[in-house]
Amino acid sequence: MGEETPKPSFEETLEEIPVARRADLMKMLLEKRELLPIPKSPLEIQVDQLSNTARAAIERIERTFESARDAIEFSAAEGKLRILRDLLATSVEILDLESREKFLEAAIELIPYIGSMYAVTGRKITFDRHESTGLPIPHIEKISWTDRGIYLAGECLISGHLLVGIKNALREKGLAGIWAEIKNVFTHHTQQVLIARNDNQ
Amino acid sequence: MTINNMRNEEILKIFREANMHQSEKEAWIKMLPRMTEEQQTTLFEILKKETGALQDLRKDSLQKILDIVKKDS
Repeated sequence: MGEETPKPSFEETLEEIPVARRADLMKMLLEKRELLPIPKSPLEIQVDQLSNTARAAIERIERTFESARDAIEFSAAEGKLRILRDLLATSVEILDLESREKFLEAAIELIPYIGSMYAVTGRKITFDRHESTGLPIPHIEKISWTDRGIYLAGECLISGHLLVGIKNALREKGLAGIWAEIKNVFTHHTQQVLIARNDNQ
Repeated sequence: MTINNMRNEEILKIFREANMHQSEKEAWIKMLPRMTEEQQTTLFEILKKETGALQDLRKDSLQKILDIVKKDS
């Protein structure tokens, strides 16, 4: 028998774990609440004992801080949006409109990203129409914490976009139109199953 | 440095200090497996940069306030 190769250390093993699997490791740690943000203690100052000039100067610093903080967060949000846009583009590559099944698969791939994107970044993309050219102009719009919560909850329960899609379909086609579409899909599927079953017999 | 060269401890530190709510961190973690190595690296760079910039900004602002308080008293 040949010599056994020495086992890698625990840390070496961790380094070899592909990133996708390391995400599982992080998820496990999240469940243990090890990734909770470190609380920052506010500075304790007896503001009422300060002069009016000092108070005004502190207020100016606070306003500058808030504005700079928003700029940093916005810049980071733009970067995160770019990643999510690339993820969307990757998902769109699998779109093949000739096949209803592939379209549905793509839709399932796409839906979770959109709501997550809004919930994670706190920004959503809206479009305005250019007055003279009529072309759509994209804007990044800040959304409230409540809306972010709704988007996140929507991801957990049912996609908000799916609900919006249903609402639009109802408005455009009416219940009878949607029912006809659903029947077409199910009839198509049933025929496929029957044909496959007949072929095997 | 790409994400594959980063140690788990570094990744965890970035996530722990990231300027995000717990639920947002979880949302990103859910998406990580679908991201390419390049996208993951970019994300961690964004988080690291944002955290660093916010920490510096907070530190500078607090120092300025402390200077004003010191001068005023």
